[in-house]
Amino acid sequence: MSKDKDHPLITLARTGDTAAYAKLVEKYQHMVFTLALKLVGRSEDAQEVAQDAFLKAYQALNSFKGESKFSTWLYKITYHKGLDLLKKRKRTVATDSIDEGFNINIPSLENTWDALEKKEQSETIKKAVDELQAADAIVITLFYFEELSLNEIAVVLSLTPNAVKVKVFRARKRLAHVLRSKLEPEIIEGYEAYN
Amino acid sequence: MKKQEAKELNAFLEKTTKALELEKAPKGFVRSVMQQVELQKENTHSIGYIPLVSKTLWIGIGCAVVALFWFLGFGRNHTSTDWFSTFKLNTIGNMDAFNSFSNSLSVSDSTIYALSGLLVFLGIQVIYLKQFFAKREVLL
Repeated sequence: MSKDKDHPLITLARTGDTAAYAKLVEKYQHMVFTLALKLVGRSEDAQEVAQDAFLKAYQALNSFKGESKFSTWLYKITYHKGLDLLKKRKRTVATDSIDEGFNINIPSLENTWDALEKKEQSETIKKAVDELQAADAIVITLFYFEELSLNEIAVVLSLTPNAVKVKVFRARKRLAHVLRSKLEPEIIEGYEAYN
Repeated sequence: MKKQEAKELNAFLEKTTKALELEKAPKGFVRSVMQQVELQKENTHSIGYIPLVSKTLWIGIGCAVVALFWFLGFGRNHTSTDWFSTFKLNTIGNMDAFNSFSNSLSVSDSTIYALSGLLVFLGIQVIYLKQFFAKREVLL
């Protein structure tokens, strides 16, 4: 618990200080909303899931023992709330079939990436992650953006760390594949200009 | 070679995802969540635990029971037992009907063992299920 920076706010919120909890909501609103959106796909649904997750977290605040970070615990609640909504709508988390049979020329991709403007980079990676299936997008967001460890992602997704490792490996390959398709026109353009 | 490729890919994706921005929660999201939190807090207060039998009533019941036993123990000498003997309280415990039933009923040892086993496993399951649902309630 002591390693968690949110500990003072959690302690205050437990005593009924809603202003302290509002600060936690403020801090994690975008990440929780992003996770929910990656999972359920629609903005309205994501808002419902994010709201439910924060409410559930407030209700269960006294049962939070601090075995993991508050954020990990909150993402786990969000993930399960998202699954509940998908179940209610009779939908499932979309996953790709295993597709590892493609080679990626990283140096060429990297050169093209570096040549892009910052705004273009931001748009390209956003589009690429949006094109991924929900399960991959969540893993990529948690691993690269939120920089959670494999063990922490395992807690969020209720999986073993080894299963998460495999998921990260596959999601990484798929993202690289999508990125390559996004950057291909730029690569060809650069090649033609060079010749 | 494959390890090197994976390493390069990881480094490249680390670089690219730095440009990734979070989706923005809708405006007024925090306010809307906090309104619901406040509402929930009020509801929790208004449906606070109220015991079915209040403390005063329990004290009253306790006093009545003590008074009844005192009356049965000490006050009986001063009252007539004519009507009291009609209850035939001294026959309680002579379960004649039950005895005749149990004499005719024979249960084999294996049935008793099976029933005991079933009870033990049922007991374990109740504890396990209680823990499972308690955990699930907290998480979901």
